[in-house]
Amino acid sequence: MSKLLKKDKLKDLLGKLSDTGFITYGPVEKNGTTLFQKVKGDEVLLNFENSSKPPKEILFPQTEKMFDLTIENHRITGTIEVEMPSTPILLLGIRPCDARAIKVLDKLFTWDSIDPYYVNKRERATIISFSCTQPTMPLDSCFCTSVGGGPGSGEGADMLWTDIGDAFLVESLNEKGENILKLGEGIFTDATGDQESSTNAAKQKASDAIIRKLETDGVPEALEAAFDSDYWTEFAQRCLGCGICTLLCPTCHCFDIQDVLANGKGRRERVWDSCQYPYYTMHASGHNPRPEKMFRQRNRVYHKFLYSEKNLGLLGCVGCGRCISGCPVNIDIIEVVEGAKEAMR
Amino acid sequence: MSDNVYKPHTATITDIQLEAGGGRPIKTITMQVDDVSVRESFYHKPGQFTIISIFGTGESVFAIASLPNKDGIVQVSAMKVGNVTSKLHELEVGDKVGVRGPYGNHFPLEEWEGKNIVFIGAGIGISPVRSVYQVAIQPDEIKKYGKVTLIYGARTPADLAFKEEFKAMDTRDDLNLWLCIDWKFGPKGPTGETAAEGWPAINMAAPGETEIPDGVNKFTCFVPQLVEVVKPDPENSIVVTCGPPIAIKFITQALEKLGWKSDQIYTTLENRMKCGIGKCGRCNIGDVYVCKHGPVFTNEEIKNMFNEF
Amino acid sequence: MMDFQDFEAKIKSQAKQWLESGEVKFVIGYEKSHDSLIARPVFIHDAKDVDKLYWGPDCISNLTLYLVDEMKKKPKRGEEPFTHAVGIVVKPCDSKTIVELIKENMVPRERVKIIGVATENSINPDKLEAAIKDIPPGKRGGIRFIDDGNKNYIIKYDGGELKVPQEELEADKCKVCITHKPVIHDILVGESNEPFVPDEFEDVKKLEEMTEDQRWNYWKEHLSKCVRCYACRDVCPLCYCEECVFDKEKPFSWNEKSVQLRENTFYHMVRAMHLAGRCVDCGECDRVCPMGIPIREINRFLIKRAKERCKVFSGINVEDKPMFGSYDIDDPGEEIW
Repeated sequence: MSKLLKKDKLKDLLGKLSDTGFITYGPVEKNGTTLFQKVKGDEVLLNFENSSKPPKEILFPQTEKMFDLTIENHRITGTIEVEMPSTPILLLGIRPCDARAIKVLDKLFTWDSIDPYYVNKRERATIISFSCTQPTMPLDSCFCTSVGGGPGSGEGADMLWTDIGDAFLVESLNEKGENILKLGEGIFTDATGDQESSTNAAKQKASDAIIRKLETDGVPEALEAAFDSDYWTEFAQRCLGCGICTLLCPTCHCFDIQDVLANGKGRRERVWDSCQYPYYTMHASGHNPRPEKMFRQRNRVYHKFLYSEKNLGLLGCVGCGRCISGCPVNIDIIEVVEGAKEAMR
Repeated sequence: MSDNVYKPHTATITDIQLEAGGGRPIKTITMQVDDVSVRESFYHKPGQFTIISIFGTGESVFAIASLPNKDGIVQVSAMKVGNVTSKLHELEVGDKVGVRGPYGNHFPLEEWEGKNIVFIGAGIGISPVRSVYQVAIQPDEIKKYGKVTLIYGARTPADLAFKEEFKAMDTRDDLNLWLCIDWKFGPKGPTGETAAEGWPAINMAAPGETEIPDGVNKFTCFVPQLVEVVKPDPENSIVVTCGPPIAIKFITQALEKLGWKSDQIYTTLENRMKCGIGKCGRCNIGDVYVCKHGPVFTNEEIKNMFNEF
Repeated sequence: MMDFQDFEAKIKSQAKQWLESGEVKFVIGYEKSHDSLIARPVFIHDAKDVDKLYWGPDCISNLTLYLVDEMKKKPKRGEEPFTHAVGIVVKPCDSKTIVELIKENMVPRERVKIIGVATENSINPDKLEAAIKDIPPGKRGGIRFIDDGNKNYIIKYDGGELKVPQEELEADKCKVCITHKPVIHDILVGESNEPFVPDEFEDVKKLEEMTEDQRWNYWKEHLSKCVRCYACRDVCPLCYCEECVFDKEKPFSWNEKSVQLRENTFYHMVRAMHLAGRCVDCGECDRVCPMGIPIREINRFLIKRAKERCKVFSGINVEDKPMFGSYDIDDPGEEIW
């Protein structure tokens, strides 16, 4: 049976979790931008559009120290491993699309070899999704229902909370979710059947409100055929090559590794990178396998809709629409993919 | 032992050889992993690659050139082109570097027993090819194969790497060695002049018809033409080749003229890499990750990839 | 009153004429897609495609960026240098960019054919998004604008219309604009009798009145959000270096890729300095920032300094000398920032 959390009890819950060691990240407003940051209670946004930067940055930070370098007599001689913390993390209020994106990252970062930095944080994390039933959602660019998700999907999350006015209807989806219910004993109450059915109605309403659609049938076949087509030159002509579409994508995971020396100390860190940048693929010799913007845009689309499925078994796009709303020149991935299908017809 | 896949093991440089001078010198650098307990994990097969750290500068990917060993000895041949290789060229014996790996697949030497093998290297591409042939031409090993042929070309005599090794090979009668250096270039292509004494020219229009004087195995021509001169027989044979993309393209065309099939031709691909384990993106050719699915591919496999080299 | 439909027709017919006569290789203009809120860049190579061209107050992008791209293209070795001209649709602010580009020898005057469109104001996409919340979802893309002559836009959508005061949608840059007429053009579309107010840099005062600490805190908050997508640089038509110092990797990188306040600030300061005395305040950097960093405020600060101390006001006259490219014995000798 579902549980209920009164909105005015949220602070109590977070306080109680904090007492047991949890660090909570939630959506907050900072200078007009929604971001995921460490929160205590009151500042958590309960009615928000999606964050500008996807919450993947909590598990896979844009800049992350990998280890320190040891310096002896002005020479760097080795490495010192960083400590992997064990404090539990609560990821509160992430959108169902972004929770599904974490499934893609899970696959990638455990694909044959384990990425210790991601996996450490992932194991410590409990993910609470908020259904997109608030009046601010869905956005015009949302298309999660076309790529297997939905505004009330709990996929990838440990708990799903749905806003039903002055309370959240709380669904626990696995053991990590049960653990939160146990820690919050006395704060959660039982939900009534009416509340459950109004939750389902709200989810359905949100789902119906999503207008943008992408017909994914036939996309892999069209992309297989379209690789050498002139089609890609057309929309890539207006591309700025800025990388917003990839940096803000919840499933994009490319990174660069760099050594940094400063103030007598050294460290190796990884930083998000983007396939939209020419230097990303450039060989030391100057040869570049993807020398033009069209090849780089093509790689982004193919990675989402062809390669990801082949290699990880999951579509690389969750339909959050950030690349559509964020693109300065309106390169619209739905239009691009539909267009490729059309061009190959 | 650390289970952090990104953490390199410290190694000490034990030997440095200057293989070729010129504007882009090549050095072969040998190092040994310091931690005795992990040395065995560096056991590698020909074709695999390693990622070497110059601490404070960064990491770079190299084909492993050393013979398979359990002593943590890793050898690479590096041309001075980028930031990491430039620093690597400045290092001295005793300096510390980081190594991780070995990564990727390898040349299936065990499947080639009883077959003829032709090794073809162009420029720095000889380095990954060498990782295979130096295993195959060990006196005990070479008996397992049929005829073994080695074809190698560089821009100028000064650019030819591993000269001492080739001199030694030239005296062996269980393998056939062929070398070439490029034509000098004028504004409109090859000038036709012979670049150096003792390197006779080849009939570029019809290389296959060039008459070869007895005992001569060094020519002025490009590697693809030399292949046409040598005319390796495709029957029960395989080719291992590596070089700049343009050279591979023409070498393949030359081999196809001689009747070779693309599944007989093995090569190793390189792309920019950072992680080496399929996470960081960037080395993909279509859905194929060079670091995970390669770097060794047959031409047949390459033909099935998207054209994105 | 701005008759956008009429302007659009004139733009189309001019583009058609140039393409048919072969005077231009292609025309850079705006188009409106079914799903996009605002107009987007389009490249018309064939006279039969001119009907794609669109005009309205939502033509926000500064298209001169693509003009620079075309001018940077070099012929293959041994081939004749390119001489073809490109047609382009510009607003007054974009026309100022062309002046700067001509001053800096990036665009030869004879290689650009300019359709200058008189503009009173452009809209701010965020304000537009907020103003049209009442339009049913699915119908917000592809909206059209009509100027009702009373300082309102009639926003037409499939199945209805909405009246919104122009002031409510106006982009901030338009409030301080000094001309409604393109400063350089081959053909002028429309005219405006709207008087404009001299720019007194009122908006810069907010920053100037802050103490140094307050100002640093203000920027610290904003710059720490930067994701370093470099969109502000990539969209800027005056950021045309062959290789940007922030991309350079060999022989070493000048800054770390790590996203932290120190490196972000370094980037933003260097970007701003390179535009001092050149920036024409087209506002594109500010518009494209995905993290809402008020980049224009930095630019405006520098525009004011350049004007006060070096008597330079960019984008007005092709005969002016570029600030950093000229020497004057009466130069104040003090730094401009």
